[in-house]
Amino acid sequence: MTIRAMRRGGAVSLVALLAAGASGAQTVSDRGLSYTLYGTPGLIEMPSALSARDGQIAATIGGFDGQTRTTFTFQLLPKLSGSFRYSRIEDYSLPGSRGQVDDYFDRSFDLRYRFNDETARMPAFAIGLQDFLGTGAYGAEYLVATKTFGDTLRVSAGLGWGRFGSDGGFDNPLGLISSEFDTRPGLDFGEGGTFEIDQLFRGDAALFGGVEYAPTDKLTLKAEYSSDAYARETELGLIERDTPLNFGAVYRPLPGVQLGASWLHGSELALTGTFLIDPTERPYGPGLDPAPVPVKIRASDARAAQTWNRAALPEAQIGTALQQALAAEGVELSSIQLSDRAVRLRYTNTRYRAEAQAMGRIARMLSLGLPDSIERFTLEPMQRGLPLSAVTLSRSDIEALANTAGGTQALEERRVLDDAGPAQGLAPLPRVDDRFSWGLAPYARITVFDGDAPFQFEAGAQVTASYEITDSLVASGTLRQQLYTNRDDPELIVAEGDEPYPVRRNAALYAKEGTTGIRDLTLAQYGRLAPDVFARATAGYLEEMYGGVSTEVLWKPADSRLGLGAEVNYARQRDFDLGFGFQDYDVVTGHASAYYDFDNRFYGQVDVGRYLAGDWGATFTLDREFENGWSVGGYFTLTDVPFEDYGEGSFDKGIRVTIPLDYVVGQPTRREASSALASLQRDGGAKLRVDGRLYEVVRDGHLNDLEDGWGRFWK
Amino acid sequence: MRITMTAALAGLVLLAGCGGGAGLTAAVQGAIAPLVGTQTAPAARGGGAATPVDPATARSVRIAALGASGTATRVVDNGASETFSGPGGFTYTLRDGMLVATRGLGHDLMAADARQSRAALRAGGGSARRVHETLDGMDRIVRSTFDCTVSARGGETIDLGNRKVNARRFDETCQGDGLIFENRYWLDASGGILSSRQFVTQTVAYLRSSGL
Repeated sequence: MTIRAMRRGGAVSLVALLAAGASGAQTVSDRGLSYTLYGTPGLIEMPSALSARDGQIAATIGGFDGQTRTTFTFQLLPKLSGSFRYSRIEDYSLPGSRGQVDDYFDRSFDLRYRFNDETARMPAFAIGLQDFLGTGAYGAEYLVATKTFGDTLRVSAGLGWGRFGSDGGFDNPLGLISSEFDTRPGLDFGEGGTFEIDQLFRGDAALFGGVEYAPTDKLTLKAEYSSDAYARETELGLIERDTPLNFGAVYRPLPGVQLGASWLHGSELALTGTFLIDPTERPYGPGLDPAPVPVKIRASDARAAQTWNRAALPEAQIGTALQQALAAEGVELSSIQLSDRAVRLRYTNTRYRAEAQAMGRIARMLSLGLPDSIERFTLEPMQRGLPLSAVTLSRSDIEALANTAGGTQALEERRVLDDAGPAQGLAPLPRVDDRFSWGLAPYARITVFDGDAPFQFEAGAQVTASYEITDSLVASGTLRQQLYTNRDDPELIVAEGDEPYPVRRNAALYAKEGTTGIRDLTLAQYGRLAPDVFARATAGYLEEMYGGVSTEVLWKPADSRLGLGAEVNYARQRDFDLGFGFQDYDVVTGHASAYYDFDNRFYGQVDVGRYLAGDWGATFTLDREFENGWSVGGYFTLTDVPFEDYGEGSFDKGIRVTIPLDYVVGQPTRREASSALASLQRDGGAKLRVDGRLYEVVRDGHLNDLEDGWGRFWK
Repeated sequence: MRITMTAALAGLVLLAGCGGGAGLTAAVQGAIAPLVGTQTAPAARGGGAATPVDPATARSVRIAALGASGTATRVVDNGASETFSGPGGFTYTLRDGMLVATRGLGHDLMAADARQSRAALRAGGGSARRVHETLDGMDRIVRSTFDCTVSARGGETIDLGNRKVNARRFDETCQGDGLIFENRYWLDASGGILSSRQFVTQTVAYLRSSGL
């Protein structure tokens, strides 16, 4: 941005190029950062003590002959990063097992914590756990220090255990604390996916280290001494390890893209590509939103008016005209209450991700069109017919704070947030927008991590349609036509032994037999039982595999960080052909849920209850959300299905990402793209999928989401 | 204080709903005008461009970095501040001639406090501190403070399209937040700003606005 400004701005010049970049807290650490074959910040294979910029996501594909590693690393906090990795190793098998698998697939999770920021004298120190949650094929732990010298040289050195202690190892220094550290027990990974705490920092330790040199901004050269013996791979004859020395180079052709090549152990050429996404760097900056109408300021004498002449301007005319005007902003006005001094509106914002932005646009129009005596604006945003909250603004504040430095913050301090008021007093307006909407869109579904068929792809087209019988009673459905799939013919899976009923594992059969089918077809009713209690009932073909009835209640005051909910569903398994028929399996499933907003951009959710297979347990979810709508999080579910009966992965867990579409296109839209990178979905801890769960519907109009979007009020 | 509604804008009513900013402004005013009572919504006409421009409420506007150039029409007159709608539907607000906001330009100037700069112009020069607010990619308002020096550059004859006028030129050099920019103003005898080139944001650079 700075460079573009220099080019375009003519006289707009930069006082100091680096001054702008110095705003980040730890520029020393994240400058010139590059990624290892494991997709973590570091050397070639060995880690460094560096962290990426807070919130950054790095997707790395790295590989050499016979191995491919795909890794997502997310900088969870300025000092804490997590990685999720999916790898393929040809002709591999885990240590201790016999034979070799043609294509061995493995998932792994890492965590790294950096203790301190690097200073002029002090290096940065970090501790890391690699593959601590999976099969342990890449299992390693390390302590590492990194020091940058000048602008071009960086040195890292560390102590590794596990894989990183397998070459040149010596007796574990932690053995001084307890002899238990002296030996690393054999890996008993069972079904995998569990925390292998009895392995961590056990067994021999070894030193590793390396140097990075950056002759230019775009190029970094690296050399490292690797303490990874590649013991199992060498044993299986997969790799020749002639030397512990690795050499490599990383080239950055574009911002956010890194291409690397390296020569491993004197025998293997390795290539990496890293793509960086920074949720905090929105491609279109503030967004390309069309200009709003300006605020109109009343003359001081007009402001004193206590009433207005209803003969000249009947209330009904105001309602109709406002409805028409707000429609141009994608705001559907449902009802209005007018008095001499105040107005209250209920509306549905269909365009702006941030309700605050819609409020800003509505407030401006009210300033433009309402009689001068009306001083108080109460805005009650709705979604799915539910009034979410009530934000009250003073017209004089709107007039005084528009286009005024400090006006956004001042208005935030003066606005009053409350639960939405009663329906009583509101005059409903006849609906003018279309009750019926439909769309035709392509769809694609990618299933990865299935041990037997690791990459399954399905694509086709779907028609979605909905009809709003009232604001809060909606009929909707999706008809899907599959056009392509690379899936092999699946076989019907039946429960063996103590395994749970295959509530999800037969997903492939739905894809195979339901090539033309009804994905969902439901009738949903929303309602408000009390000012801060919301309810939902959905009936019909709820999702691809289950139909039935879903009911939900949520307590969530507009200004509360805590929400409590309960959901009870009766679900029956649908026929594989996605027609109207049902199979014999049915279950009553449901959860009690607690939602908490931790005020530091983290949101937690705990669901306790009964899952689809009749198993009892709890799901724990933690998301980091960004003000601009991005969200990155993870979850896991533990139920009374034993790990060995659950099967591969031991229990359900995964990570999920939500990207708001306005981030991508720059234009205002409420759409978003969500994707869950679940570990293999099996039958334990499986939840019914119901569209429009209350918390996600309601929270847009509540305190935290309003605060997040408040900067857009005047946009 | 009244809402004006020119035929040129009315022609753009047809664009309402297409996401065009001018269309939006016009459509909304068309709907709201009956409430205000000063104006009845004019019938939408296709050839709005043919309508003559009223020099009292129009300005010529140019943003070189965005390739935007043309006539801007006043959409709201709030006395001390006026908001104009330029080609493509972006708007900008002048408070006593000083640029205090733009909308619809992407990297907009969300708000500004340029009162000290205005006072320095009236005083014939001097130093001033101004505050600019922008919106970042995380939807947060970013506040930047600039230290400015306003200096008189003498009399110049400027071409306002329809007429040539004598004006006093002032340059305002500002520095802060890693940026340097220079605004220019041409004032009439009574101290009103006839024409100016004022800084918006790094990406948009300068907006030139002149009376007709």
